[in-house]
Amino acid sequence: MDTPLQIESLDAFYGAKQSLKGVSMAISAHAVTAVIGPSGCGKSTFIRCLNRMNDLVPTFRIAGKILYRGQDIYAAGVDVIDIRRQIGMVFQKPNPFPKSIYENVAYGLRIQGIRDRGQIDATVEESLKQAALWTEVADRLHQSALALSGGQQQRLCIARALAVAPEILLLDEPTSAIDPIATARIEELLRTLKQRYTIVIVTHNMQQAGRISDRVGFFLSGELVEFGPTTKMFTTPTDPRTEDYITGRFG
Amino acid sequence: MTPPGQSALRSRRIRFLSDQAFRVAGLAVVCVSLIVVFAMLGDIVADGLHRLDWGFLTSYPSRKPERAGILAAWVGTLWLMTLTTLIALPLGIAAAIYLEEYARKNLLTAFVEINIANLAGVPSIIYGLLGLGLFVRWMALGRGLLAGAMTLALLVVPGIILSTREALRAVPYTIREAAYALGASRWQTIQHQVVPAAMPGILTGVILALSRAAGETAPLVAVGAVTFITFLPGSGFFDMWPAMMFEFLRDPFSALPIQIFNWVSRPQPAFSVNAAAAIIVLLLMTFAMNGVAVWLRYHYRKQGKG
Repeated sequence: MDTPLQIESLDAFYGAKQSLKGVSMAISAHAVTAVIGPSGCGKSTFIRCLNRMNDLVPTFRIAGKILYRGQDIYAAGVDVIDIRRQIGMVFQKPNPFPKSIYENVAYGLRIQGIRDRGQIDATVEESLKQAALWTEVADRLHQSALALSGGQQQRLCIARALAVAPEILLLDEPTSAIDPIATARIEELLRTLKQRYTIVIVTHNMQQAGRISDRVGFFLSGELVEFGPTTKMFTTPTDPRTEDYITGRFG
Repeated sequence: MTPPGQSALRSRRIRFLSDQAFRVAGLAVVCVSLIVVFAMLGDIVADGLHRLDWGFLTSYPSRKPERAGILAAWVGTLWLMTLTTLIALPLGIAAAIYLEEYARKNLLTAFVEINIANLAGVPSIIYGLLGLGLFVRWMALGRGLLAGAMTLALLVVPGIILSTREALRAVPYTIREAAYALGASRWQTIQHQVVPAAMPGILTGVILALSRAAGETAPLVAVGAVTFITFLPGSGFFDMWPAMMFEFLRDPFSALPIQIFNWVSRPQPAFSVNAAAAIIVLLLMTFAMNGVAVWLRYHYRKQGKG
């Protein structure tokens, strides 16, 4: 099986506090991998390690390896900007730039120095179509992104991430700030997107993991308790703690 | 539901009364300050408005009050503001961006931050004396426009740094994350996202700082602004072009607050009338600057929300 992202005994620390302990995981291509677990279990820390977003936290450090196509993304000499272009991210709260819809999607291209108007137009349209937002915004591309609804803003953030053509898309609880109908649309979208992208999603919502993912990793207190195919995790988990969490005995 | 008891009723009554008392006191304080402002404005307008005509705006100072005008003064103030902006704006904004976005939080930056806050509170006469010692004497710029503008720039830079940092800090962290996640560098993130998002706040702070500086008198007195000149600073600009075109920066200059100060300290009542008229012009200039700040704020907000 093709696994573009391999995590090998990853430890993560904020100052002296360890928040991930020996996590090893292989992310399959063209599949949705869900990361679940109770609050504070390290799932957000984990996903933010995968494109080095935690670099911005001064006291943060890791041990272990994260291999993207065989290359350790934390190795010396690796350009973090290249990594983030290959491994895009969508955040918990929709965070469009306070600019037009068009400029939001075009920004990733502009910072790469692309100036060709035709190419940018085409990419903006293509990305918005992939994010299932095109029909709703095609006639108002140059209006402010902040005028969109929360669910539309989050799909815009997905379109913005797709515009730079990443291989992997990371989503950190992308529907936690959005109403149920908008959530359903995003879930449907993710099922389509996995044909072209490799998706890792952190979710607080077990039903969501069950609905959209192919594989599930269950985190508890910074450890990966169990990782396997979604159906197996939800029907016959190996570890009793997984079963307790999934059946709602805690969390 | 049982009716409230005697003590509950009493405490409710006390709460109501104290609420009303505060409301009345607050309104009274607001009214007092409004009355003071309007009384001042009214008095000045009554004294000076009839003196305000084209001749007043286009005449040089004179020993005869009825022939004296404020041409040199308002042109000087305009020059000072332009030069001060050109010097203070890049310095203040760059320092704020460095402190807010790049500097590591350590003892040194804490020390720098405390002292910027201190500098913002230093009396303006002290800046004037610093300008006299540093720019006029040591750098030998003379008692000219440039020395005056540099002194005023020193005066406003701490304020600009503080308000710019405030504006940068108000930009949500999630905007930065969004840019980084697309592969933007730190400088791209700051340049394309953070600074534009903070722009209304930055500009408002800058203009308010400058409009305060427009009325500063003490530092200009110290640097050596003059009240009697019969040519305009910058008038030699094209005569000496191009080799000496910046020589005018050493020209002696006047400014509105200086002219006002000079006129009110004279015994003849006619000069007080001139001072009142000049005050109207100075106030209009600062109101116009504040108006620009309000407009920019509105303009950017509209652009952001759409």
